[in-house]
Amino acid sequence: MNKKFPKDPAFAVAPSKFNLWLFMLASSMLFAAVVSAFIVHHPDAEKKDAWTAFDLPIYFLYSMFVVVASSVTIYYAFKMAKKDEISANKWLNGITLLLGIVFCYSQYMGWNQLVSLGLTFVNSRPEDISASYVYVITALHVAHVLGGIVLLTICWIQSLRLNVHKKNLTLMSITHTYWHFVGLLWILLYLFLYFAK
Amino acid sequence: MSTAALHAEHDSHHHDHKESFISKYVFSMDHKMISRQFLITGIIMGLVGMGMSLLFRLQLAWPDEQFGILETLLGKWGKDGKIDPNFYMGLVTIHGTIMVFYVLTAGLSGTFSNLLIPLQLGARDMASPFMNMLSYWFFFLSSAVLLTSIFVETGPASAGWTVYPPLSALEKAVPGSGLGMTLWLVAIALFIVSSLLGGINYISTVLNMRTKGMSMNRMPLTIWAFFFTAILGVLSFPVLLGAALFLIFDRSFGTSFYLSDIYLEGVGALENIGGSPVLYQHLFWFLGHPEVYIILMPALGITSEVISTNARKPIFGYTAMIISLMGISILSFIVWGHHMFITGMNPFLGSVFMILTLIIAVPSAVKAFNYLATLWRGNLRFTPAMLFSIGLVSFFISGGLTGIYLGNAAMDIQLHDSYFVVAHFHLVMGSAAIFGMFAGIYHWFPKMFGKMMNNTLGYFHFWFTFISAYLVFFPMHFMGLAGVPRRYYQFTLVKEFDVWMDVNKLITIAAIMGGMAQVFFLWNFFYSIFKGKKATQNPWESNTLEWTTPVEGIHGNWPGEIPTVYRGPHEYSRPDRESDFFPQHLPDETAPVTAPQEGEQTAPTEVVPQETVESSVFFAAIKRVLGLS
Amino acid sequence: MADISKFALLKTLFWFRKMKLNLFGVKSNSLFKKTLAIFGLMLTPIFLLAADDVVAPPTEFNPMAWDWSSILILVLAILIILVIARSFDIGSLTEKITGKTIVSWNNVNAWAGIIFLVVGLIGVWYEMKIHGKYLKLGDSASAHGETLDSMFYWTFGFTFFVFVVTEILLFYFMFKYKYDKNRKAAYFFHNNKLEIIWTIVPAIVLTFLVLRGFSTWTKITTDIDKNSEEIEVFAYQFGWKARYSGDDKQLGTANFNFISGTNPLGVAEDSAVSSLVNELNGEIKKLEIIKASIEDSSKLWKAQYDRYVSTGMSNSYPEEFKQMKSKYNDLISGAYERQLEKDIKRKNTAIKRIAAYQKDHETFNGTAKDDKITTEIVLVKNKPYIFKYRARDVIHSAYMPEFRAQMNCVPGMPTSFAFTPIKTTEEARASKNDPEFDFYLYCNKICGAAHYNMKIKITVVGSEAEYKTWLATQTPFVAPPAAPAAPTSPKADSTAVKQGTVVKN
Repeated sequence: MNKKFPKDPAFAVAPSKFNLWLFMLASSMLFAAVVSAFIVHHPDAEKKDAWTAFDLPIYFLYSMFVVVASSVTIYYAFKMAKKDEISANKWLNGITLLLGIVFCYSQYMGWNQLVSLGLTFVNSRPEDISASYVYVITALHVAHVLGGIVLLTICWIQSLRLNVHKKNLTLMSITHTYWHFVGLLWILLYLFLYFAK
Repeated sequence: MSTAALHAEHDSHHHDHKESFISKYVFSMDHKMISRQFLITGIIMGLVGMGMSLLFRLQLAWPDEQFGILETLLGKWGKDGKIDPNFYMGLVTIHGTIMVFYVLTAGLSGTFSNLLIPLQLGARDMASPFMNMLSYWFFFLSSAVLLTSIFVETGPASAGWTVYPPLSALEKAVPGSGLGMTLWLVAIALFIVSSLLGGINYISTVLNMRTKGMSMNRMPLTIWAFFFTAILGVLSFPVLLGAALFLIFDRSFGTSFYLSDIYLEGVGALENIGGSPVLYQHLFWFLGHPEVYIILMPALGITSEVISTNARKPIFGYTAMIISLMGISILSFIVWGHHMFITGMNPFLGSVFMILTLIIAVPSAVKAFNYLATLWRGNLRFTPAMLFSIGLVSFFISGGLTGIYLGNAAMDIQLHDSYFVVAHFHLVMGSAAIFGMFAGIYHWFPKMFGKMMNNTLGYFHFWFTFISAYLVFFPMHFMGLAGVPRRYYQFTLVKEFDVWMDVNKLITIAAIMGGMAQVFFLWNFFYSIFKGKKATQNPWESNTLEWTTPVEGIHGNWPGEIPTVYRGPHEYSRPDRESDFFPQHLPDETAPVTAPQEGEQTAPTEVVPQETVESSVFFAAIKRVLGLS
Repeated sequence: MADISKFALLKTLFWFRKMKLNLFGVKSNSLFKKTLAIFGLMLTPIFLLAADDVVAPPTEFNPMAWDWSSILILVLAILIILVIARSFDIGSLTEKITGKTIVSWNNVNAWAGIIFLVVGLIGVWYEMKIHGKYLKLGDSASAHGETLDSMFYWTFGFTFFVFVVTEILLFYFMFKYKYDKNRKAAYFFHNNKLEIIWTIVPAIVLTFLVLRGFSTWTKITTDIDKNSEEIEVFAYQFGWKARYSGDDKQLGTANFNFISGTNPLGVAEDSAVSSLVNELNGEIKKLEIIKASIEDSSKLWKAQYDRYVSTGMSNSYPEEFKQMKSKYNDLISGAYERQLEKDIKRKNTAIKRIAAYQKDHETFNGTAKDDKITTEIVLVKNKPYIFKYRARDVIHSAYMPEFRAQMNCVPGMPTSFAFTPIKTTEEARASKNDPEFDFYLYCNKICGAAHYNMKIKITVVGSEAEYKTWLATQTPFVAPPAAPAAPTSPKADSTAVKQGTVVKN
């Protein structure tokens, strides 16, 4: 009887996980749109140098290190959860959450640095519009990170309640995937902004 | 809760499932209830949109007449019984927005994706019922905000449904760009959230929750269409969100993403500098073009299903239909530039967009011919759904052909933003999609409400709507070819355009007739919901799975096990069977020697009639059509 | 405006009550009732959202002034439709009771399809005959327009053929294969040969059309005569202005910062721009005075406001009171002050930008002095032109249907369109048999309330001499100096290449 039917793919993936992938796809499209707007934005074809006429704040680079570190911690947190090492998972979740908050703070410091350069969200010189784009791109990313922080918090609380273990991995794995997504996103965005000069 | 657990629960509990009013009718997570909510909200929005079109048609046909009732209805916007020019712009804008997003995206795709994806695939519900519920309520909130925007003191958004900045960004340029525009943007942002929640759910359900035996190549074409539609939505709506975000920043924070070099009367030179209004158009149309197919494809899918069922004949070229849907979907992402030929874009880029655009005509032609071939030698039952589907094919052909003019960059110089464009998209995307929606409503009404609609009223509804739609939109081609621009408040001030006054009157009268014809539908629809004849199990003798569920529509869809699928959805009039349909869930009585493999045409070769393998089948077909053989 | 919310609420409540009465006793209505109830709930927030200052107050409730005849006609029409609907309902009931088929709807629909097809095709033919004469096809007033028209005819031939054939097939099939219970539909899924044919044939035809379109489009957009005369066409809400280069054959540079009452196009001309700077400085001073006295004026407004409230005038003059209240609120909340600051900042920025340009001799090269700003366009037949488009405020579109020309005018992004008129106005009048005919340039991109009346007349004359005479009647931007213009430096020559383009910072 089994031979008669093609392989039934039903319930291959947990719906929430699959939906997350699709959400990440949609998010990527949003960033693609904003970034391509940034790429094509020069107001005057004659002035090629009107793109980014300033150095990116160093804090954005620090953020990248933070993101890499948090990716490592959440990777091990997931691994520990899979191995039922509940207390290690608990700690690693907490550290990741902390790193997430540090990331947001670092981005905030980056914005402060931009402001101190005289580059605010609203500018009255045509070449400074790239600063507005940098604000939009980073703020959208921070919004995504905040979503990740909410997930991490839930995950951490659940792990404190000993609810994250081998048999209850859905939340952990969603958080893990999503956190890698926002981390990767920031690395790509930073590299893009860095080389866009 | 894992899906398996969900199923187990449904299997045991569905009979004595007692729900509160709120959880059953308001914040329902049942896909059938959500689809009803989408449909009825869609119909209400559609009535508002249609009413608006009648108002501005009135203005175009009798620009010098005074209608006292308008002042009563519209207050200061209808001073002296004449519509205010600013409000006229608002009407045009909100009509477009409502029809494109609220009726034909949410009302059509939202309704039928929700209803049919689980039912036709054999799933208990959507992948995430909660997201599905959120999707509806975001849509509802969005509708409420948009409707509110009509009542604001400075008028609704009035920069056209495409809301091009700087017009939409500058409050001083047009009053509608004040609070009305803000509300418009809020409504659209909510709509995007709704549509993403829905779309993600549809894709996830189609890919993961099909019943046993329901391989991808056994899915009904409706599902294929909804699937591609959802993919288009998930990929393109975020881009619109980006575009709207920039516009919101420009409007509320004073950034210059879209603004540069602007001097406003009474204000002076603005500070904004460095932006580009054309950037908005690029971002907008990157959504906007797929959006056209988001509207049309579900209607095409519904038509495929309805035509096949009522022609009692397998749909012609099932694979070709899927491939052309796929082709249209992919191409729709790389042709957005054809809306912008005359924005001063690089001429070479224009040529590229032109070539890509005209390529779309090929898959579209294939679809139209396939519909014709499905009708050929069928045994046509003219249910109202069938009539509307045939009407769709007619509109799809006549509206699609004019796309060849507009996709041609050179001819677009003359035709851009003229009435020719209005005629084109109202036929191919407006009327065709609405007809698809009507076909869907008439066809699946028994499934949605457990009642039958009255056929006779349906016939009247169809013929009046069909005739009036052609009367409204066909003459517009001629106006467009004569260079009459769209979105003009009145034509009396230009002698060249004033000669079309009689045509304008004809169009308005036809539009009023079309509006009246909807009374047939509304009466039929709402009356049948509670007083209609009780539906039978399978009223159209259809093959697909949704007709195996109980008529009253229970939570979890099937009382027992979900039926297994044994073949494709279009096996009508099989020569080896007594009846002219063969539901998907019935096992073959005589087991075929070799089981059909995935990726293979499911029709057993031995039952293909002689004609189809005949070498000169094309000429045979022509002969037969002409009655020569 | 609380009354409209109250009204809506009462109405909704009334509706609910009525609904109960109407539907009472109907057995199968629970779903319906509840669906309605949901919509009642859905509509209520809309009315509630329509809060105080958002909703336009309804004009006074005066049913006597209503257009009762229209309302009656509408109601009657709906009633008639409902009666028809009902009678068919009864018809089907009779059918059910007697068991006889009164009408075979399948046949009726099949015949209706045929009738629709025939009448529709006659209608198409009639439409072409009657309205074809208004079409501008084949009567192009520009050189490239003739190619476009011929392309139109090719496309028309192809699409019309497909249109007629497919529509005939559709309705013929509908008639021929209507349901017959003794017949079984053909059972086939696909036919490769047929499918290949109807993929390849459209593909070939489209390739032909694409190639033609490609060559025409490329020719129109890139094949531009080097000797074309440049005319600047300037779009604003709601009108057009044209700028002809004067005797020096060079359009002076222009910038949106230079626009003022006396310099509507913002051309770079020293005296006009300096007077604009003075004007701006004056305005700034005025605003600063207002800002300084803001405390006093808010006291004044407060006194006024209190007087209105205490004397009860707030009730007898609600409109004035409302205006005053909003002004007073603006003053109190500081919104007014912020607005003033914003205005001052904007004007200062403008002055700064202008000052930067004034140092730049490329911008102020003196070529703008003799430019002529006109309110109509005069062209010479068979002479190539480039229209340079600029927009002042929002996007407009310069549409000249007679010349088969259209191009968007985008603020901050200069565009252009090149064409050659081949018909004079007189010739066009003769061929159209309309002595009052004129060419116009219309706006074809939604741009605000008076979009429908935004046009400029174009006159095409037969000879250069006529054009010269007309041009001589137009005044240059600055009255010509006694001495001829100073010889241009090599630097100015290099800018001449970019003449007419808009200067950017």
